[in-house]
Amino acid sequence: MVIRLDRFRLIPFSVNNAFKNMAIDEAIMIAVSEGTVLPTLRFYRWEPSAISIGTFQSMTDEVDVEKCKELGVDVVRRITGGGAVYHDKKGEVTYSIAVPLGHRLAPSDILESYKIICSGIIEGLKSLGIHAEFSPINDVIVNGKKISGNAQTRRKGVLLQHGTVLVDFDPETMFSLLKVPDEKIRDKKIKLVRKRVTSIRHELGKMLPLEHVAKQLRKSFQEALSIDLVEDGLTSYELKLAEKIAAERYQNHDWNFRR
Amino acid sequence: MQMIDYKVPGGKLLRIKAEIQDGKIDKVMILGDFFVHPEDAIEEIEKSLYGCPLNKNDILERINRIISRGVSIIGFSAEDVAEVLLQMK
Repeated sequence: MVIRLDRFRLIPFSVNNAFKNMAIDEAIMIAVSEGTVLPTLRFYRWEPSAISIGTFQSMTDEVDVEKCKELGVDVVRRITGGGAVYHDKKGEVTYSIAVPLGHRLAPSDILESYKIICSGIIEGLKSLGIHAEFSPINDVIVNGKKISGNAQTRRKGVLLQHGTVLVDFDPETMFSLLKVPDEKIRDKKIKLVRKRVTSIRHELGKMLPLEHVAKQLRKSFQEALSIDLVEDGLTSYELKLAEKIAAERYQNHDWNFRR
Repeated sequence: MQMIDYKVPGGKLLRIKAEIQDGKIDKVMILGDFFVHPEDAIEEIEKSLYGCPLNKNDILERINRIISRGVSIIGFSAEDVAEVLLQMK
């Protein structure tokens, strides 16, 4: 059997603030759409810690913005749908992948494309000794508990999907920053989410360095997606574009609070 | 502004905020953790509902008109939006 290995650019594990992280994903999507760069896989984390909300959510409904300010947690609206996510600077590895539509990794069936791309995460967790599976619509679960959330958009002929892998999970901090419908149920919510969400640390009983997790994921995406990764940086065009997009969109109050 | 949350079975959380006046939808926002492709379509759906009489057929017809332009919605359906809106007065 001949396995077709497509070349993808790999942007190695790096750290940025929320605005830059979201702007880089978008800049990559545009560059891929213009054909100036290879389809791209990127790994990153967030510092300061941040909350991102789905593009159809209301910022003030979902997030205690004052509390975030107080704790130095950034807030940002994504261009992708899905829910609010707390990105802990020490507890999460995020990936993004930008692939032209019609590529075998980006079929027109959206659910199918989630499943294909999430296989990189599932294999990565497997290599760490964790048995995970895809849970439609857009989650990866371990024994019924969510360990990874994913979201994609399709614009300019490109599929952009980004998602998280929880390495450590702190529901107390998360729920101090997210709004709950009623203060009285905050503790109940925390208990419930502990039953529904897990992390690599929780599954293995020990913490792993984020760099190590990112390295495993890099290997597993390469194998599971049958792609050949070529490590490279962002082009100067992408960097400039990302700066512009960060200023115009992700650091812009009107964007973040538009709904 | 009225607000109703609805967890779509097998889907996502839908939060609808609307103002109803004289049996018509005056203003509506469809919020939640769902997916709409292309994303801009959500605003077109909301706009299409302005002035819409509060009955199921009219609501469905207006939403489906936008969806038929090649919009994919994952996590809720036009039916769900109509059901929630019809609970408002």
